[in-house]
Amino acid sequence: MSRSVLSLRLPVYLQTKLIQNGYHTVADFDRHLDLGFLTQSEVHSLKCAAGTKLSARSALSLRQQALTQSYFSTQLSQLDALLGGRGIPLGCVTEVTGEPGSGQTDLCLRLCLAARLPAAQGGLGVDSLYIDTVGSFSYCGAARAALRLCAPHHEHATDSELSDSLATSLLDGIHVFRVYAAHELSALLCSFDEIASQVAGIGLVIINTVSWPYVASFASSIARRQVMHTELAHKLAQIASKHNVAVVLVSQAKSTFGRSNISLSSSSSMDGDVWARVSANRIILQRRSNGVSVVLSASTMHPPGETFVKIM
Amino acid sequence: MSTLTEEQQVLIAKCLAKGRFCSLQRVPSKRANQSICGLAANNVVGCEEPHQCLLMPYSEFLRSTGLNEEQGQLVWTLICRSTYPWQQHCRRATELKDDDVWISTGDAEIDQCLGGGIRLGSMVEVVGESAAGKTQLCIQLAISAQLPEAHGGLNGDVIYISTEGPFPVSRLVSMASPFVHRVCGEEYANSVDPADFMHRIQVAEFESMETMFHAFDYKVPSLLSAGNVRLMIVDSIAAHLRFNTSDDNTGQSSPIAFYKERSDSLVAMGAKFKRWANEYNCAFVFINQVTDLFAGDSGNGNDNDASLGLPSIADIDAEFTTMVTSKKAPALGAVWSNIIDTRIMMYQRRGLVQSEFRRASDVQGEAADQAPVEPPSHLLRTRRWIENVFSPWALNTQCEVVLDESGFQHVSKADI
Repeated sequence: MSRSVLSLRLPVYLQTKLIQNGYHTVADFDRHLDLGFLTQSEVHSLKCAAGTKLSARSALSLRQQALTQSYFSTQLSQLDALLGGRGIPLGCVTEVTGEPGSGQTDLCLRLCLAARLPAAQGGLGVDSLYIDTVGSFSYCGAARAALRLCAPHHEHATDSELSDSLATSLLDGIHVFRVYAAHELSALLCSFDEIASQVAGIGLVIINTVSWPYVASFASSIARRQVMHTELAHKLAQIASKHNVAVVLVSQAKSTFGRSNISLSSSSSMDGDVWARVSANRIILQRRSNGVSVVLSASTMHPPGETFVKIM
Repeated sequence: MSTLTEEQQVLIAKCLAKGRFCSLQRVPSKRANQSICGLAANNVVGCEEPHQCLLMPYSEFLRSTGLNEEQGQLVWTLICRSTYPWQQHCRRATELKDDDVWISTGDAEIDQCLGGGIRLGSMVEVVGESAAGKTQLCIQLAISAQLPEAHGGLNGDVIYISTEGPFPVSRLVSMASPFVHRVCGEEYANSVDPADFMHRIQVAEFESMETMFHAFDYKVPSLLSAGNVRLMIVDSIAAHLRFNTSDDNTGQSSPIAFYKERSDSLVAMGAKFKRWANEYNCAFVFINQVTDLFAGDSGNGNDNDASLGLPSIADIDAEFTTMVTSKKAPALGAVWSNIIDTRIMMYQRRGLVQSEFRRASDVQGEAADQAPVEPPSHLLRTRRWIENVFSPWALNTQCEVVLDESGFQHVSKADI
């Protein structure tokens, strides 16, 4: 069975031309070499399209790759314990969901800083890309998160400051992009290859939040939004594995007005489970009266679990 | 959907083949780039601008322009680069230090509770029951924003949008002098006139949702573009959006349609304001009302309150509270909660002031360690708190405050 002409990635008019002239499958080209009705460029594009092969990898090579996977610690022992004792994996997508005020931005800042720490302290010394779609990033917020990270025993330490050099070295590794709409987010992620080559040493990409630009740009059509979500999800999974970076997505939570317990099986993100399908880990944050409850609701690597963190 | 004609495709292929798209610095190629983008966009249904091509799946883009894989990839890359040139937008965190500018509330403790005050470029919600003091806090902020920089202000203009009745001018006048006195000292306070704080506040009063949104689309941007506005207050955002009052015109009496329309309006408004907040370096403060939660929706009390951002009774540092906390939540739902950056809640409870209780019990000769069953009602005071429920730059903290003629001030622990 040879490939049908219609399955090749060609413009519609070209496909029509080929079929009208009797070429239905790729095998037909070998028999009839008279392609006079096509122009040079069309023949060229035809050859490119017909020449693409499907690729497959053995499960063993994937296993070997998984064994060498790097992680970085979140610097929160309870959260690390949930994630198999090792932390956030590179090369995978992690989804974080929570209602406003449950500590999503705080967790994102913490992960940027934790990834930047040297290997001796559980980090990887990598830079991070913080894609801010809602205006959540501020220097003071990041500096305070750094203070809480480095000196967690100071409870309300707003008066003591982190030493300048330490703060600079930690925060210098965060590259912030402010994005307002879905097309800007798409444009930025399509340029990721270029960014990765010019900004060296990126290990973490954070999108806070991934839901808002699509809510803002596709307010009326949920179907359209979901189509774009799916495309973005695939793109992010590709970026994660190709560049071996950890991608952390923050999605808006479905409104759980009044219900205080999230069941582990239901999808609690407003976008449904579109991000879950590409994520290796799904984390749900819930605000409690004296801290935050962290639930690992699904993971391809670890069993689901729940923990409680006092103050992040 | 129409596809590009053969000639157009050949033209694109020629330009792309010569590699002229690579550099966007040389002017002739920039025009060529733009024309390629425009050409692609014009042939896609519903796209007037190249960036709208990015709002559709890649396969649909290829299909409607008729380009093949290679050409399509190049044009797509071109559109991406021109829509969002990432080099211009990339900023390291350390470069953002100067972006942290705050409007002070006039009281250092309250400022610290909020993380520094009201940050420029943020969307802040002030929520509470009626008469909790939301408008008073906003008037205080409006005065503070106008103070000169030497005295902790930002020397900025203020836009005040009032939807729940006329703007409280008399309160502004009565607060101005004592506030300036408290914050800036006697010398400066004597040199300014309360009227000085009025001509830099632009007040607009709206009685319906349509007029309010119309103003947001047309009037507000023109005021903001002058460049001096540092604070815009909407008092309140909930007034016209909570109940379906316009069912006569459109004939929509379905509640779902109403909520859908409301959330669409809020999202459109939120997206616009977020851009303006950054572009014009201005803070937006929205006053919101609370709505009742009915029994049967909730789990156990404390957790539920905390997850909604309400203070749980345990958090309040008062030993005796006799007022039952009824279940209330901020109005306008989850859509709005996701649009704002910061939520400030103001509430009041009748509670016991410990120092007064101790004094009273000493007078009566009771043993100090013997706690009475019920506190004497004449010692219960209305106590107020301002709470930073959530914020990207500060933790959840509460600050007890007292309201007097000069606005809100913190209550020091010694007085409690």
